[in-house]
Amino acid sequence: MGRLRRSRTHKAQRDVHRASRTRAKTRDLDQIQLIDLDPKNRAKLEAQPINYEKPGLAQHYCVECAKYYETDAALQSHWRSKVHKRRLKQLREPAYTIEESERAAGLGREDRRPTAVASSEIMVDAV
Amino acid sequence: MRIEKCYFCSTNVYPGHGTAFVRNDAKVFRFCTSKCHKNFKMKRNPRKVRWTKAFRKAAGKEMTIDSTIEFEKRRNVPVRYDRELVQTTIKAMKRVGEIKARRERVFFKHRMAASREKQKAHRKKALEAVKSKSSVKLLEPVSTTTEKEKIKVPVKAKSALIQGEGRSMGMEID
Amino acid sequence: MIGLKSTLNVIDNSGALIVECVNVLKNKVNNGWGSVGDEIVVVVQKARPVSAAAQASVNAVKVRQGDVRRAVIVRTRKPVRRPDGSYIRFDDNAAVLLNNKREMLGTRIGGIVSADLRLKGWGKIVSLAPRVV
Repeated sequence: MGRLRRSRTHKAQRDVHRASRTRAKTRDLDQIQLIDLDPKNRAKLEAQPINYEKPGLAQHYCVECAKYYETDAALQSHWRSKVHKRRLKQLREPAYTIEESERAAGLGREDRRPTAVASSEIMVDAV
Repeated sequence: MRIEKCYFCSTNVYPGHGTAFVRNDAKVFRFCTSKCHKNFKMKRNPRKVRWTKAFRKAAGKEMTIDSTIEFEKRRNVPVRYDRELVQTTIKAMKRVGEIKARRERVFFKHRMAASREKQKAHRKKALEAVKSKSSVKLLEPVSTTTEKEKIKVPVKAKSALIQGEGRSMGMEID
Repeated sequence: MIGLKSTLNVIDNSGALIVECVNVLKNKVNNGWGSVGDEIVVVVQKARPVSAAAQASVNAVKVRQGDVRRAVIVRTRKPVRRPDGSYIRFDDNAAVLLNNKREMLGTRIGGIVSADLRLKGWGKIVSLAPRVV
């Protein structure tokens, strides 16, 4: 018989098909970087009210990975994991946005918003 | 009707083309082709995919700071149709396009000149490394004249290649 | 592409959260698949818990788990073709609950809806939505 296991699974890439379902969809990188990592929003996300629908009553939430954990121990071990560290690395560089795609195409805006300031703030938070 | 820009590769998306993806926070991502759409679904970062505009701009392959780029802008205030205005705009667009093409050619030439020098230095280094390693044993029995020819030929061929590359790229920009 | 057993999010304030499609009404053209603007019959799988006080004070019909209701699809993950030839796709499948007279059960809509709804005669829903794309 041939190989049954999907190849290239060594980088903790498990259950790709399950992860792509709508119900498993989490927030995108730019949403996390520009909205969730803001100290005000971050505090709110980390201290959520008890929600019976969410895993662990929504008490153990990882802001960077947009994921709920059942226990504090699980969250702690997640913070030590490769998946989390990889996510931190991805968040360290400024996220790609629609505005950047337009800027790359040479399409400017009438009133330009400073984006460089926002990204530098986030870099401090992510570390 | 608006000509939008592709989220992934930043080319124009004309009305009736491509796919739009609406995220639940009402951000609209437009894609010129299914290729770009698929790459987005794979969660690739356009800044790291070599064929996108974002990569070329980020890696210094194209002009980023230039007055000719500043003309195209998203304006949300409708302008009343004016025959004169349209005519002058079209004339200006043509002229700006010419200037932009010229500046791009100059930029490309500069870029190529720098890279050519780097390449030359690299080849020289590599050649010397090879010589010092193996030529002592292999090339000594051969007479001096043939040795010279042997070294010259590959260098010539390679330099010709560079020029050919430059020419073809120049054509594209035109 | 909404058919039997598809689950949809409910984006109005009727009380239902997640519904499951059990029938697509009067659409036998597209092999019975429902798209944006189609009416469907759904079973409520998950609903917001109804507090006793709210139940007593207002005699508004609150939706409970297990109820069978009509609904209209407002967003689909499957790309939908627009009249100009472009395609538009959303993040999830979503619906709005209706009563038997094809009127909305809820009074508010939280979330974006597709602009195709207006073409199909759901102008009321479009006007209530915070964003139309």
